[in-house]
Amino acid sequence: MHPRLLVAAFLAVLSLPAYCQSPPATNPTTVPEYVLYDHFLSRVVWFETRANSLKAQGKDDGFLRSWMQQYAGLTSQETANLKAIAADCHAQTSANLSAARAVAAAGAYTAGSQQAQSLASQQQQTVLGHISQLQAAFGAARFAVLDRFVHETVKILVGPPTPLPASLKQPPLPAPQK
Amino acid sequence: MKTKYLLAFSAVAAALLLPCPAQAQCYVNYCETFAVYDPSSNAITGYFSYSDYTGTYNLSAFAYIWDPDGDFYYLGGSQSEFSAGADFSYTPDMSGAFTVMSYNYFELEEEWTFDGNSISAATAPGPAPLLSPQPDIQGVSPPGTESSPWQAGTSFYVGVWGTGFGTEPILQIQWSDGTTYTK
Repeated sequence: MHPRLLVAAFLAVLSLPAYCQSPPATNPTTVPEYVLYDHFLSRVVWFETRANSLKAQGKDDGFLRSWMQQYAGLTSQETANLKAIAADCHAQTSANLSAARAVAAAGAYTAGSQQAQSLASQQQQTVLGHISQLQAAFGAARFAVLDRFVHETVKILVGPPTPLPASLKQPPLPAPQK
Repeated sequence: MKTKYLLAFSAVAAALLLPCPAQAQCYVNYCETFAVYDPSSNAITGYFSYSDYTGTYNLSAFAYIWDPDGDFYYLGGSQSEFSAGADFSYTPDMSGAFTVMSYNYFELEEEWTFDGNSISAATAPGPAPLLSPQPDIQGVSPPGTESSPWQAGTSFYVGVWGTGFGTEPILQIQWSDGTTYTK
């Protein structure tokens, strides 16, 4: 047998595991910074939204309203800056998504298209821009504190499933609708 | 010679066409579950989210909460492009550690693939008191009866005053034999 063919066959067999484990799109082994901060800033907005909802119902909103400041160890001014920047970022990313969903609903959006890549880039740039705003508002030392808090508390999973603890009963897992 | 080439090509083709091992899984998207116990509203509140940022897939996420006994309750779910998830609020009926887990799927070529789960936990101290603020007895009449033992045969009106009293029940007295009287 021709040596080159032998090498080709050998390499093909060696590459089999990588071929099988490659996802159809990106395969993130680490969470990009913009994804981490997008989730964190969304969490900041979520706390405010839930607190507003409680307040509208005449309930005590203090716990949710002050959670971020208390657990991140921020000053009142830093908290106000964080909430404002998070609200602005969330408004922009939500608008991007709404526009993309409208295009998708009209059937004009194709996965993997230039339009899809543009949306991904737009979302990424929006969040990265707001990270820069946080850095400017907090200063290097205080931003480092916030950044540590973000990395410690925002747990985004991209790995294998977490097994259900043995003490918990297995729920029915409904199949998604076609 | 032709046979050798044929064998070599067959080896390459076979290697590429062999089915992937069963344990090979693809994890392509980002999922997060977050839960806190809010003592103000006596609720475990949070959210679960699942997103791919590009709209490449149709996504589906749904979640359950488990109480300290291991029993589960459905919290909700959603299905959409770009991102899926929901907020939730659950009023605990016992104290202890509650577990929230979301299950995530993405759809590719009309096939749904399980894409892992995300888990979080919140600890609840227990049911909210019936009255908030809790009753604070600041005085009784006649004076001193708040600490003295009840005596059989003794009959007199008891006055209690303070703050935080509700209307049901107004007053509950436990007799020496364990009998409870409510007025």
